[in-house]
Amino acid sequence: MGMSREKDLIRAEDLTKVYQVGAVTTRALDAVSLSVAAGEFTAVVGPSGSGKTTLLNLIGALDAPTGGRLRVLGHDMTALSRRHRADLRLHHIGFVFQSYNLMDVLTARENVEFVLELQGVARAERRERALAVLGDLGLGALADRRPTQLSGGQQQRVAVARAVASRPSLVLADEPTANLDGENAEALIEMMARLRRERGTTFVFSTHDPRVIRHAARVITLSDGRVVADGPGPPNPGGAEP
Amino acid sequence: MIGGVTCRYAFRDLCRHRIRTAIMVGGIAVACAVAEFAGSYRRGALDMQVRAVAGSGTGHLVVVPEAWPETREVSLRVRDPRRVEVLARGLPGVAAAMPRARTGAVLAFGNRSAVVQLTGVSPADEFRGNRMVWKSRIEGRYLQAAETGAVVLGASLAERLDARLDDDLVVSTAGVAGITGAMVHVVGILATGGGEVDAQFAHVTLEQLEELTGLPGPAEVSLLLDDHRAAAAARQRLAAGLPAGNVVVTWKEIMPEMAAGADSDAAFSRLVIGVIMLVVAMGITAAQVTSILERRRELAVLCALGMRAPRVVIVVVMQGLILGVAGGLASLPLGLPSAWYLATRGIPLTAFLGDDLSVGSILLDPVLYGEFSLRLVVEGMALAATAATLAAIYPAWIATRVDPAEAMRRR
Ligand SMILES: Nc1ncnc2c1ncn2[C@@H]1O[C@H](COP(=O)(O)OP(=O)(O)OP(=O)(O)O)[C@@H](O)[C@H]1O
Ligand SMILES: [Mg+2]
Repeated sequence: MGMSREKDLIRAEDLTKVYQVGAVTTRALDAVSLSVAAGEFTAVVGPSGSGKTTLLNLIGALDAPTGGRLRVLGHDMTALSRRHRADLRLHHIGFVFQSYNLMDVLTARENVEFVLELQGVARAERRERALAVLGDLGLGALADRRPTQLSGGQQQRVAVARAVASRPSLVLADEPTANLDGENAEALIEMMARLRRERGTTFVFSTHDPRVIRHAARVITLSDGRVVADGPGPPNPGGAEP
Repeated sequence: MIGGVTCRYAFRDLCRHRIRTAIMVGGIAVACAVAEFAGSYRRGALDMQVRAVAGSGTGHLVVVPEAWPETREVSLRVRDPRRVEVLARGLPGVAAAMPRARTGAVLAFGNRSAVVQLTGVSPADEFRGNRMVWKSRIEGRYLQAAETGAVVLGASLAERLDARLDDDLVVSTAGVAGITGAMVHVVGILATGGGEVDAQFAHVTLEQLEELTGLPGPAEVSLLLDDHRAAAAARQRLAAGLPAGNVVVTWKEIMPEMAAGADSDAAFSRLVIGVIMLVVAMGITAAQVTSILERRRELAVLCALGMRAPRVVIVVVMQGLILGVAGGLASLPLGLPSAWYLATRGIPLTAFLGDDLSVGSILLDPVLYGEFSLRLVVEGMALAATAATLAAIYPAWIATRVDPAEAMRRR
């Protein structure tokens, strides 16, 4: 990739993940090697079942690899305890899920505040920061609404606010636009691109959506758990140069 | 440590299923109300029992000769009884100090006779501290100080002897100088309301008993206290100043069967409360587990966002605590009025026991009153909170087992 190793936020070598359910063994990732530098805007694409979610799970410290090596933010993910993985997620990684996954008993602001509270940010400050990031994403007027009172696009933007509120170095998004219509999908990905530009946050997202792929600076293609292509995204107007 | 948003989450989650939460709170409330009522009854019953035992002549504390607890020999006499009585009467919270002695005797009238335990007493003290004497209907009169040649009989004993007021009985007993006998005049016939008690009641003065047995002085000094809870303290102070050769025992040592009965009653009622709370706790556990399983995804998301196991446990246990406190509070409008009723109106024992309120040598109160105090509230709340919190431990553990990768799975 031509980047210095120190700048690599993610570095996978022969990364393998095998799921064993009863007698059935699934090789969800098969010797995947790749690295992602800080500030990249990367899409992971591939057909259904190709291992996109599995890859994000491993990078996001949600699951442990079966084989190979994986370093994320300087941590050896094969050696990390459950507890340390939780700490790594809390302090350095933001998540955006396909199905929003907001707490529906909490308001938009409280959803964002929750993560800051887990980090131990003091009450007044976390409130201020939550409102600031919601405002930045154009959600200021919706801060006191519950998720059920928001549209899908709005919910997903709250989810992005939650993911970036704690200023993580890495944000992982698994098909963030899968439940959104074209306009909302476009808006969301543009918002993420802007956050990456303004804050230097590294984004890795999986997607099937060509409109989203258009914005990616780099596209990694998986098939049957292997990397079959890895290169710059299509020439695009998104302004997401490395 | 736990911030406001986490607390709000825990609380609002309970509001999500109002009916389920209400049922759990209701279950705790009913169980606690039962526990409060039972607690009121248990302590009221214990109080009454102790009062009945102590008031029926035994007293709360008894000064006896050193050798008595071992031998239970009726011929033993208290050392330096004057000093013991003065000491006892000088203690705070002592309602009465009653010197007594007993002997086995045969009472005969005409062609009838009865074996009795004849009790020698100091009449004025007996009138102060023995409910058999001051509560009973007496035909004729009770004994007078130091009089000899007089006896007061229980009604059913008099009936057995076919003796009436002003009849003269022959009393014989084994004294230090062999069998002695005397004539005694029936000056009073006393009806305690307890047939069993009446059948054993035969009082003479200590002086009369001394004449019969040849042994001077009392065999015991019984102390009736204003409050049985002060017994331990009074016992200590008494023991400290007691003339050598005497010891203090409690009614429990004098009447171990009664004490064991009271203890086992209390243990049984605790067991019943424990079982009720266990059943309720299991219900809460089941409901909480269901709630956790429903929220798996949400918990997986929280875990994915970096929430660690201890905080998950705190959230679930906090929910248990909220349920417990709510249940405890909800139990008050149920439990307190019923305990209040028990404490003010009471249970008329005559409805169960008829007119005979005697159990062994004990004369019970006609009405059993429950206890009513702040303790009921405190204990009820503590019980509810503890049960609900303990019930949350297993669900909390399940909650910590949720796989964070589940957050990524498609719905
Ligand atoms: N928890 C699991 N247990 C067993 N097998 C699993 C598990 N998760 C994923 N797999 C299997 O691993 C393979 C890769 O799954 P993965 O979810 O990573 O695919 P994906 O590229 O995200 O697919 P999609 O585009 O449909 O989301 C699939 O064959 C899937 O069945
Ligand atoms: Mg997937």
